[in-house]
Amino acid sequence: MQLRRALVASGGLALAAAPAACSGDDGTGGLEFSEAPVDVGEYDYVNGVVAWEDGFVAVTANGVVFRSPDGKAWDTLDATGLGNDPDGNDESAGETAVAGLAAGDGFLLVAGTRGGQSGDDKALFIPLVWRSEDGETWQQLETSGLTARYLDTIVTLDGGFLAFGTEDIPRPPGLPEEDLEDEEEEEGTGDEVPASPT
Amino acid sequence: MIPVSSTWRSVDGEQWERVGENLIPPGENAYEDVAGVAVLGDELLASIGYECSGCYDDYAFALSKSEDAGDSWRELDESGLDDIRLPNTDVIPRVVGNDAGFVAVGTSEDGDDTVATLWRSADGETWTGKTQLGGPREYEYAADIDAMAATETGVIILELRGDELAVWRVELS
Repeated sequence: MQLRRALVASGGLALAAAPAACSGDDGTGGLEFSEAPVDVGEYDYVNGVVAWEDGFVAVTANGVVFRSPDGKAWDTLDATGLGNDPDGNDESAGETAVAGLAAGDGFLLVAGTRGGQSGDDKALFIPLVWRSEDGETWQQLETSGLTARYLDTIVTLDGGFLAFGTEDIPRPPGLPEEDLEDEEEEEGTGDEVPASPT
Repeated sequence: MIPVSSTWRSVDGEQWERVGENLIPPGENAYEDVAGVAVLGDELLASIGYECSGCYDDYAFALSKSEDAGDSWRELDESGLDDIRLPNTDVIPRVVGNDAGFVAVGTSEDGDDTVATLWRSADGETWTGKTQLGGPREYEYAADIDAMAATETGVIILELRGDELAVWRVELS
């Protein structure tokens, strides 16, 4: 993800002319490419898209929501309550990364993580889930049982939801200690949410 | 403590319970990130970016599959996705399931450039049908494709490029 951000920052993207609809091999029946302008900040990326209510909804890592009736034209919604500190007045709230989007029956769920520091300057990550019935107004849910350190993505399964993420568990007996070096270095920073590309 | 990729289940988004095995056995990796999970009935296919324990700046991907809705997981020895493993970059495929099977999207080389590319699989392990999708090209370096979802007839693929949203709609039979 850092690589992608660096590329965007350096203007290293080369865009070619968009192809018209065409066909591919091995059962790829048709292909259509389009580009749509959207209202989004720098260094953002789409972290979830779902088919929902006769169209599509997508959400970015920074909590920007796009909606489309056909996959070609996309509107940037004036979404509230999702992503970084929805009230905009709590500097201690930390940075929020939206990680995934799932469609329920008449509503959407978004999973993400808020990062910050605890009182003793240790990294603190809080897994979060938001719910919306229209894609614009989001409510952060009061969750229980989410023991993840941070969430990576969320999917719908059998009318319910599965969230995937990282948790910390005790080192299994017999596992070498030497492998922890990188992990401990990461834990020590405490000032950023993992840049989940999901 | 060590980090592991795990699963939580909920029916309402509020009450969650931790379920099943870790997606990859504990201790293999110093860092893991579940980039996407494909659902095909009770079969789940997870695409996971990881940095192995003891490694540095050596990011790669693994596919792990569950055939019992997330209770147990098996890391796959996949074949057919070698073209996604490009030099100078780390592309983690996005995956979805639809009526035609599993679909993965990432990037592959096209001359000096890289382009969005799609692969298909019936079981998540053997990938065929490599199809370069056209659209934006990048010189030498590649990036992940942002996100993909199943549609009634195929998949929709999104990549945010500055303030332009690149969209591929692919019909699959």
